[in-house]
Amino acid sequence: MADIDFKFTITDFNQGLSPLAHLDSKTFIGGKGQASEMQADIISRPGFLTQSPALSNLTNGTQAGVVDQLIRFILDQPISASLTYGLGTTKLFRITPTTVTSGGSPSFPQTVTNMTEGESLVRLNANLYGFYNKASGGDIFKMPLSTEVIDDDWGSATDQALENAPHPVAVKEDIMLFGNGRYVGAYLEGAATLDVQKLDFGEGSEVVDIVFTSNLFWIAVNSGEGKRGQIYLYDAGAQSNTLADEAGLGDQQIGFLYVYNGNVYVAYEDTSSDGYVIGYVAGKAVKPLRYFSGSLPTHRQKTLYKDTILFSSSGKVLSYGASVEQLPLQISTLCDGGYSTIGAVSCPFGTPMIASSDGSSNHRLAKFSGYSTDSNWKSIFYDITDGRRLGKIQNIIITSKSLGANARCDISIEVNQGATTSDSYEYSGTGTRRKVFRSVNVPQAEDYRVIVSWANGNSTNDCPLRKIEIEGNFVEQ
Amino acid sequence: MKDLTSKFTIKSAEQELMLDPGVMPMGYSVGGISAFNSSFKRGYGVNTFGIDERGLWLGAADFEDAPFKVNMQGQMIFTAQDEDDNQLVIDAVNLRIVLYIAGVPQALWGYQLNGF
Repeated sequence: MADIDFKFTITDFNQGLSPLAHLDSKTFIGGKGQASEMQADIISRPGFLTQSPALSNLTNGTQAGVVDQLIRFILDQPISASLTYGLGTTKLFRITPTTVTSGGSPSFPQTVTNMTEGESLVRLNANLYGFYNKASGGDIFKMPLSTEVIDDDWGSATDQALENAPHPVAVKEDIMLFGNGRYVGAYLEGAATLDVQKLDFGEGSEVVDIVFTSNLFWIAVNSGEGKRGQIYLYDAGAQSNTLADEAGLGDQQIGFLYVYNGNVYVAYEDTSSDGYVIGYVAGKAVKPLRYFSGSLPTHRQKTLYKDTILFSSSGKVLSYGASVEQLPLQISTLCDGGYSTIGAVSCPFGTPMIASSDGSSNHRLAKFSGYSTDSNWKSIFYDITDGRRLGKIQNIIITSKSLGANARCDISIEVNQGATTSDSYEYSGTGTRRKVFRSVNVPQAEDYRVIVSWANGNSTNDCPLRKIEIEGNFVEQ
Repeated sequence: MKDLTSKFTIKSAEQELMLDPGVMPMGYSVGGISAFNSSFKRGYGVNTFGIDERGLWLGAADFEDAPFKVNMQGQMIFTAQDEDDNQLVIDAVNLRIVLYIAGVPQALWGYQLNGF
């Protein structure tokens, strides 16, 4: 074989997806560890590339158990180390780290009278409050944690019915602030005053998320039929009738707000590129950080996992952030969400829980457990031309952690923007840390990308790659 | 041999999330005072001095609970910190001073149409 003319070293897989992956799944733009397409785990062991976490149903966590409907919200701040609650379309579910409670007194899951869409749950001292929509309008239920007996129409009995709308909620001490269509409602537990229309953002507006930080409530509002996003700041005492400050996103609708390490992150629609953005509030501006495709996640579909924000998009679970701040921010598709419709993404006990439904009779509440074989990673495309000459890939050299029994992935090379794909090369073997694949059977080409597949991988022992080296020659046309 | 590895550089998270010099964060607070806020509050809890669109107050986190407050209508309200929340209201609007015991007006100096 002739001497090698060129070489690529692909490492730093913690960089996630290419900045242009949401626009072009065959992009050439990106860092040395970035992907053009992926569904893999790059956050559990930064620097390594491995297969996605698998989903394991909780006990009673399907329609064969008690989860016979889509769970739309899971309380991310648990009541205790082993108890939280989830809200479905018509029922309140009691959830432990392993099980969805069936039976008991009162018997779970509990039906909430007239509820058709659970929106959110929040704990305020000794009570759990649930916000929900009905066939017409909405309401708030109250459930003392000591008795778990639900007062279904507490909201309408105390003040008045809610709008039929998203109902995000945030709490500060004994005050809760919640979205109610064009209004923001407030409940001051100490004064026992509920006003479901405390603030009015006007006709055509909708409050889509509320968070609390910097001693202020941050309220995300979409106006103009969801075309214009705005973030307002509001007094922590929830008694003023005026807003403190605001930042506008322009003609882009907001999905959710998330507070992490004092920063307020915003998921919003990038109407100019048919994609979506995670950004953060920097001064009076919202600075876009990473882009993604799919769909816009809501206040019900966000949590924190391994120092990254986990959220859903078109049936997938995405991760945004950096495992440590010395590494770059990344966005990546971590895993599939189960069924096609994801209701809730949450992590109340340290392991993410994903509630999903096929939109028909199949529903599940599952948590990360083991490794998935529904996992792959594709590098960005690399140009391998040199003037008149084309490039011919000769060798692939893989370096990994020492593999366990049955750990495996398969490597292939795609050339000429996917027109031709090489054979698949098996990387496996207990104790394997490095392997060289010679004489890769792809023709001379203009470009290539590396594809890693864990379709033949193992659910117990993963196959984490640290480095992929590609060597080749230039060939005269 | 050419090293064709991507040279595309990506900043670390700490660099990327650093605010540009001179940019003041939304909700920025310094010395207990919030910038760009609709209210001014100094101190915490029962040691708060505050001003917002309802008026000026002392002695509570919020206007409604304060033992001393002046509203925008020109009424000065002193509230005793007892179980009845007894109040003395100096009312420049109605030109009177009223003493409320357990929420009921009990004494008045000034003008009151038709008495209590």
